[in-house]
Amino acid sequence: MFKRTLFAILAVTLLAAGCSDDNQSVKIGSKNFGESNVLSHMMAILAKEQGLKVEGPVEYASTQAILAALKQGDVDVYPDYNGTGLVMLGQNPISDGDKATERVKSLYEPLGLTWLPRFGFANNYGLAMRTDRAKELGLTTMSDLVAQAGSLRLGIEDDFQGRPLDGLTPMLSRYGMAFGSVEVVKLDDRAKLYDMLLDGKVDVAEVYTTDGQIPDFDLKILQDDLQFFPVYQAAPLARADALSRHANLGGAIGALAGKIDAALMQKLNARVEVEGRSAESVARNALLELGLIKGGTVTTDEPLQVASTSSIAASELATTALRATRRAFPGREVKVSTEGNPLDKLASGDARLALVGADAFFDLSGTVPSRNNQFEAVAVAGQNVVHLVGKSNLKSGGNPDLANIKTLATGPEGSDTSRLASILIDGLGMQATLKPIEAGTPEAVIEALTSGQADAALVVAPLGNKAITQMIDGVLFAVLPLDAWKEGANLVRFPFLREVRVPANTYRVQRSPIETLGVQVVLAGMAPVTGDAVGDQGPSSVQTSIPPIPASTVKTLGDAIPGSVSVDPTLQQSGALAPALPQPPAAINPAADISVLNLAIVLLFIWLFWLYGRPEHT
Amino acid sequence: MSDSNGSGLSVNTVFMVSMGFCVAIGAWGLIDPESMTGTMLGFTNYMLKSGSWAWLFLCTCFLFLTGYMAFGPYGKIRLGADDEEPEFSTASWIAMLFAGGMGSGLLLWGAAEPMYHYISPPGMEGGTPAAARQALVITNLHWGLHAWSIYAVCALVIAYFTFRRGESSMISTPIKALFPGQTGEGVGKIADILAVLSVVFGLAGSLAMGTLGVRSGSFYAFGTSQTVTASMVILAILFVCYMLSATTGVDKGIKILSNINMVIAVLIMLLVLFAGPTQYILEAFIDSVGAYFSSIFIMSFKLFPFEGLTGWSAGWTLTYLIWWLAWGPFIGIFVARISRGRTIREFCIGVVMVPTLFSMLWFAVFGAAGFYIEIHGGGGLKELIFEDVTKALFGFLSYFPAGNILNALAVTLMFVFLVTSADSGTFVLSMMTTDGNLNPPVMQKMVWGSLIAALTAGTLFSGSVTVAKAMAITGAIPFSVIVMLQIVGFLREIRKERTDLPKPIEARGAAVGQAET
Repeated sequence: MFKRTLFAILAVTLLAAGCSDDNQSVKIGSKNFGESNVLSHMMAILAKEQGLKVEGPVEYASTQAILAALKQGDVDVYPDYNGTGLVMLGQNPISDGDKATERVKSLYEPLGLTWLPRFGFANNYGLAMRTDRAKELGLTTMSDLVAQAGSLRLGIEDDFQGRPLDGLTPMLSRYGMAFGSVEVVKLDDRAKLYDMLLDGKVDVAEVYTTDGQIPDFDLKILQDDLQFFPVYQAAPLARADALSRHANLGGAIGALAGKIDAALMQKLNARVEVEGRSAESVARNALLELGLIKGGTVTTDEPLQVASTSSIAASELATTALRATRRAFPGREVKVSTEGNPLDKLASGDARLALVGADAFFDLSGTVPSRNNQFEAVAVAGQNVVHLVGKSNLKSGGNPDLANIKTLATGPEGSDTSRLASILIDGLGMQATLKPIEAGTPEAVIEALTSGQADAALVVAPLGNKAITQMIDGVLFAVLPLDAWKEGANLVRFPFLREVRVPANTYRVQRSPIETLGVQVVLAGMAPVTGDAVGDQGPSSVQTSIPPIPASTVKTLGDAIPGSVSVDPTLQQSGALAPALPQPPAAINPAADISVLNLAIVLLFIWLFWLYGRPEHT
Repeated sequence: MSDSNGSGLSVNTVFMVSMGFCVAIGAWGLIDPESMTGTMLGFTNYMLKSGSWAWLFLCTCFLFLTGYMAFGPYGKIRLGADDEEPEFSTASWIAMLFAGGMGSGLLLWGAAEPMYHYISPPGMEGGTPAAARQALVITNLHWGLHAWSIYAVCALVIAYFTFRRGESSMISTPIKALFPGQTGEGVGKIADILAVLSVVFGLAGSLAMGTLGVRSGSFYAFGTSQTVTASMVILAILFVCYMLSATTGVDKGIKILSNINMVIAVLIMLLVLFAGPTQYILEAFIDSVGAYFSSIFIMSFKLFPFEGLTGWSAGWTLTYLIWWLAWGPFIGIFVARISRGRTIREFCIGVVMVPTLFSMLWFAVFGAAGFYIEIHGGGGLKELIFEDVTKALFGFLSYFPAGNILNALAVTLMFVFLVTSADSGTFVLSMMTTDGNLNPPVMQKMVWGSLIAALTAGTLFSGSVTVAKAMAITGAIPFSVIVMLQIVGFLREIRKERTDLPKPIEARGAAVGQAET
């Protein structure tokens, strides 16, 4: 019996060894950026669907490296661009896609490498502008630029500046134009070009046409009407012997031919680069949407929840937080959920993180707000500004009379705006009664104002929030100043509310700056339980507490939020963020009771030795 | 002393008094759980933080004591008559003591604990190769030699008196040898009662936590509900199983179940080992053996006064030591009960080395597979572990093929671990309250088994895991004093078996007597 079992085990082992023969699996490669990752994952998933054994995708740092790996047989197939294919063999890139493909196919065939049908999009250089700015100047093509370029600023990266055939200088001479000024950033900081474009520091920026930021920021790509830029059309590049070894590999990958246009690729890139999702899940979802694979293959892991309030969840802060959380929890789907009290969800373990304003940490039922130390801030998402929106005619001679506000529209009871409204009423001595609006979003709350249900509305949102800007645009409402706040002890009583000035012209018909209040919005996690020295471990123990976010994750979160500031010092913050405070010199005997206890323990040990050594009784 | 009535229930002082205390403390826990947990955990916390050096030193002394017992002059002494054969086969013996002494924590912390120490090791940078090596060393320190030498010492002092001297199998027996006459009777009674209390509450607390563990385990594995009703259903099945096992006795129910437990554990481990990165795991195992044994001396005394990491020591190393001490009284008597006929050397090696090596392999398999996922695989396990250990266990198992089978095996193993701890606990309690009867009457087991079930149910109803934890570990520190007394009594008695040294005749004690030779 035993011998037979052993034999069976041996047989299975040998069989398994046979299966892992190198020739049996398809090795998929990828370059080290999001677009290549997504495409290679798509190919891997499709190959697996066909019952092929797939290894990878394995990432390579450069085109040279992955091409060498392909030639050696370390990689069977990876996505590349026909323009790149030409450049790699020392050829000039061509701006006609079909010709380029024909040429590249014939050049690579003798090497035993096959270009499969193109995916359907090209990732070229392009010049991008803000849509509103392009409309204003009436620009749609690059030729349109020629007349106005002298008064415009161009942003580029340094790699483009130096390219001899398709770079800055050849482009300028081909179109015969000169820009007023040219800003150059490093290639690695390419993403900055988008910030510069959005901030208005440059008018035109050089971009890659499938960048995810283009649809995200609704940018306009000027048409290259002289077809100056060579095409870089993406297509799978495979080893011919791998295609013949796996009869259905070509067919599996070929299913993608012509399926992915530039708009789709931009969307997928945005999911990876902007939202920080994993390339694999983006690839899988895209294949599902394209109908190339069937449903049910999507991972059913429950998503990691970030609990937030309805007003914050609707703002851009939620996007920032979501992106950072996706970075910090690789491979997990993350979703923001809207809760009445997000911190409760944290305490119950339903949510791992909560996105809340600093005010949520404080219990306001007493005369002095007391901080709930059960939670700690792990990252700062941004700042919310208190917008007390009222009818402009409340203003009588510069300062409005807040006492005239009889009803104040806020979010639902227990929400952050409702809580802040009570603070304001208390701190400013207002007479208003609260009018809770169930939906809680800024639009819904201001809507109560428009429909006459309330005299004023309290909205908490980042400065220049789209919803508020639009609402204030249309009707005769204004953000009311809270000048009176600093009178009295409000700054001491509610230290988490900071004075903020809304710069002039942030909102329409706002001639002068407005004094109001700001509140920091943070990602919060559970604080470590300090009272209990005994850990959660043990031979038969289960966790008694929800563990805090570990230091390494806190660091990733902070790194993933650009330009993040430190946590407001009034909040309890994660140990990973808290600065080490200088300690006063310790007393020579820090605790007398502990000394007594230790003396007792020492005496116990001495007594035991005495017991051992004392003579036997007869 | 004992007053055995017809139905087989033996009512003596120890039974009466400890039953009274159980009801009183149980009522306290039910009526005002806040104040009970506050008092109990407060006591343990204070002792642990303030006297950290003493507990570590004590447990390390246990380790050296077992080493001395195994390889010193007493190694050849047999726990029984000189020509007696062991009562159980070696395989069953090891299986029983392993199943009794370990719990579902072995599964839950298998991948989680090494990952914790890999990411945030005490006093060094996390996420480095050195941290990975140190992580396995620390994990082995917590689950290895120290754990089992605590059990071994607790068991040896009982087994020696029971099988070598033919005295009763009670906690108080070695203590009575230390204090003659009335003092011995008095101290012995107190020790017996304290031991019963710490077993009852240690067991009820552990069972409550274990039930919650099985509940969330089956939630993650099969999606069952996480309500109090679900806990009660699990407890009811548990009750039936351990009562059957305990009432049929050591040589039937307990033995069979322990063997099943061992088979499932080995099966899960082999699946992870051979379906996972086999070579990597085995390299990590061999590496961890060297790293652990070469640093055992330093690690046995490792505290962090200069790094300011006293809290870490309390939260990890001392927490484990406290758990092993808390389980000491019942595992001690249970291991003693099944060790008849073995020599002291055989006993020490069997109880300490064999389970330690198995634990080391276990943690190398789970820990290294976790490292592999984090370092070479897709990652994401770390965050899961830091979020919820139970969830992470099933997340971890889902990386392997045949995940459903593994999940089912894991939940079964968690459950069987509970049963095997509960049945030996019930058995031991019945021994302790029948003046050390090696095969206590069924009625006695019924009473104690039901009491434990009632306490567990009460704890589960309270819904607080903290109550369970407080109950489980509070007995540890008082009991450690009892163990120290037992050891002194034992050492004084076994000294008499030595023939190579002249007996100290002078009324001056051993040290003086030896100095004269």
